[in-house]
Amino acid sequence: MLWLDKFRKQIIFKIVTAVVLIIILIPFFSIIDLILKEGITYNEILNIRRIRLLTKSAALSLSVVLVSLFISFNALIYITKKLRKYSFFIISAVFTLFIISPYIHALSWIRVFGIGGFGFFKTLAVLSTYYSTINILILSAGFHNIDMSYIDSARIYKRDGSVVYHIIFKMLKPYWISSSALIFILVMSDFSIPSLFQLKTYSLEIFTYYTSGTSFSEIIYISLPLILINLAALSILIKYSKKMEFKKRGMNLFSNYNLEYNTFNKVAVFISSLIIAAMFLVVFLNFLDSSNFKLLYETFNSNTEEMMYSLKAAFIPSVFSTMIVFLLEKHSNEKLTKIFIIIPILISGSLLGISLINFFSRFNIYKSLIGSGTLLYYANTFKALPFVYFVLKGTLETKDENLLKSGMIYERNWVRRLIKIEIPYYIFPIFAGFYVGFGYLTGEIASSILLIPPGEQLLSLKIYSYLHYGSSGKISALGVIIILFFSTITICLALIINRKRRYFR
Amino acid sequence: MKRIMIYIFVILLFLSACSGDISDEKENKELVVYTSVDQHIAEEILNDFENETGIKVLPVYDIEASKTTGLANRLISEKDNPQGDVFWSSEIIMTLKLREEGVFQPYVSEESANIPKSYKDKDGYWTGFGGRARVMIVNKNIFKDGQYPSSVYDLTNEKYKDYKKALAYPMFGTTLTHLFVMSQNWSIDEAVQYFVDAENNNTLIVDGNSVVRDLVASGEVDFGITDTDDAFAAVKDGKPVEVLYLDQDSIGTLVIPNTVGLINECTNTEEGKVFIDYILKKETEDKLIEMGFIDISLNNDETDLKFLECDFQEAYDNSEELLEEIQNALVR
Repeated sequence: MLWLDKFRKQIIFKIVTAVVLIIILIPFFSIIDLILKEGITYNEILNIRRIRLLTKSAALSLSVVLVSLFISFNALIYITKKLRKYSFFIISAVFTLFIISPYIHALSWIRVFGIGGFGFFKTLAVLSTYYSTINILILSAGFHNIDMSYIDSARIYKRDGSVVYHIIFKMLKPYWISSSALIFILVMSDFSIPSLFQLKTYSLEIFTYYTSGTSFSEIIYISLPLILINLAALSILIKYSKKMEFKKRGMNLFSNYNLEYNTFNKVAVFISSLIIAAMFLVVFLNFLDSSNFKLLYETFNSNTEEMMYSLKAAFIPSVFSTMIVFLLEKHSNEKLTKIFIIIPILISGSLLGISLINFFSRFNIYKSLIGSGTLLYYANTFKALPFVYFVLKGTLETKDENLLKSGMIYERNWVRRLIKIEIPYYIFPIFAGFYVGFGYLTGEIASSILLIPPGEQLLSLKIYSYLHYGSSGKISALGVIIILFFSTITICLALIINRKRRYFR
Repeated sequence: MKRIMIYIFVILLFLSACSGDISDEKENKELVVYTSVDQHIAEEILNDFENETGIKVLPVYDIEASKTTGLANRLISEKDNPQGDVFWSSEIIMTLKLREEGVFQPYVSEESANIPKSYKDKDGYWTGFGGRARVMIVNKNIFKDGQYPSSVYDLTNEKYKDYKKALAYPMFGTTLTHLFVMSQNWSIDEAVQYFVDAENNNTLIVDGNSVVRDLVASGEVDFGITDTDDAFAAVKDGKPVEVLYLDQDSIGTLVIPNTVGLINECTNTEEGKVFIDYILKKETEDKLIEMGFIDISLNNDETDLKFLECDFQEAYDNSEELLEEIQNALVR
């Protein structure tokens, strides 16, 4: 009854596709509705001052991209070459640093830098160190997927030192270009860190209009130049993310291969490792330094509900978005749906929250939707989709047809085949996709503030509201709890996946 | 079959984790309070209210960075299907905007009898209580002679040109309120020009009042204008700062009230009224003063503080042109 199985499968995927399209299109329709309701006053979008701001934002984003790439590439070489034994723990710690939001990093750095003066460089330092974590995660996958025969050939003609930058770096192009494009978009859209360091950027200008009560249609209108620049970066991201793989199939380049460094390599690796070490010290020790055990205990006790809700609000949407992307990418040929999946990256959290309220508040079921947190999960799923997609896309596009055919002999039912063969086979990219979505959502505040159910609270929102009081003991204690809580989850998940890998091989 | 049961069980478990308590049955009285008051302050007051009245409070908080805008936007979007019962704000401008949008219904609490007329809506859509004053925060290590600047005009005064000063952006929060009120006494052009002159006179225009406090407390800036709750937090932390009410020998200082309003067509109207009565009580104001969140009782005639004369509603009504001007002149 293979035809029946195929038919059922097709129906199910049509339904999944339709659901995904509805999920994605509702906010778009609602935004259009908002614009039509409010109307647009056609003021000038760009004047000299705004062009300057846009240029400054682009310069900041590019600088963050370059500095974080330099740090992560070189530090990763050191971690995998010299600290191989501890690399699991170091990478887990990097995961944790990624999962705690940029403004928590910024809080620590404020105590080192102060607030006033040199806003550009302070913002650059905080964002570069923070985004090095994403680069490390993506590049470390690249290190596992390099074809060693190319390196062998290259070593015949070139010295090892040149091989690192001229050959390996070029071979990692899809990874670093994708992560750089992603970082570029995130930095262009971020206003929280520039505002902490009093740096005027284009996104901060938009936020200023938002906080002064300007209509949404006008904010969207002002945002157009930013959206266009981000669209350009997005097209680069789409082009190169196709070529990324997260299979962890090959040998790790630097842990199993004895490449010699030249002086430039050594200096670069030393500086980068030092910066990463400084980030660990500043972020972890700063919080531990300013909070005592009693305060930690009290804060932990009074925040258990917030911790569980934060976990739930990030975990469930990450699972949903990973499932959606996996099923669509693996079994659907609807190109349009795949394009729609990545568009949410261009919509700000505030706009998403308002658009969902605008749409669903027309129905009586709204109270249940907001009260049960369904709208929060919805928004988070929506926001996580593009991040998960970028990670999963490349790996899943390189379909192993032989595996699927073998699977059909072993197991004809496609659901069981999915559970027994495909998911275990792709467990690393699935985990990577889930984790990037999860990491992003743990720090999300813009849509959460609008959609959180009455009576619930998230750790990210709580620490952000406490920022008002500077780096007090309470903020530090919350920071420590966030770090410990999410690092425990990270390590547990990583251990489970690592252990299961033996069986999946 | 066994496997199918396991799959169904896992799916049900997952779905149950996704859903919250969507039961409409109300065994206990409930109240949804939207508040932009700092969470650690609001939490304590709401807990006291729960203990005293037995009404369970489901709070929705805002974050400092969004300057009440997040909650205000949520309230406006939910206008046709309101989820909140009461809005308790730490300032007044967004409350006036919400009143204009038709978010509130009138309720005049008996507890508001002693509150001055300019601090409550004439039709009862909102009521002000417990105020925070605008103050000058000065780093004592810089002004060792004790001759501290204390006037709003000192930011534009040539005498202080060489001193580093700070002021929050007048695009949101209490500084926006300050700008609105200033424009009542001056022309719009003069009010806008004040901020431009201040910036040209070595004044850093920063992200919020807490940033002004932090900059002065750390010595990165010599003095600046902020609110009492921020300033007194620095004093409490033992920072070398002095706090002075603005213009006590001339026009007086602006006092910005907390505001509370009952949301139109809300589910728990009676509980909402009970809460408004509770929050307007003199005892609650005293507790907020004790906590350092406010420092002026509006329920009390006996005060030596000189208030800046103002009509908030009139200031708000004339604000559209002013906002446009200040956006053009000063937006970052």
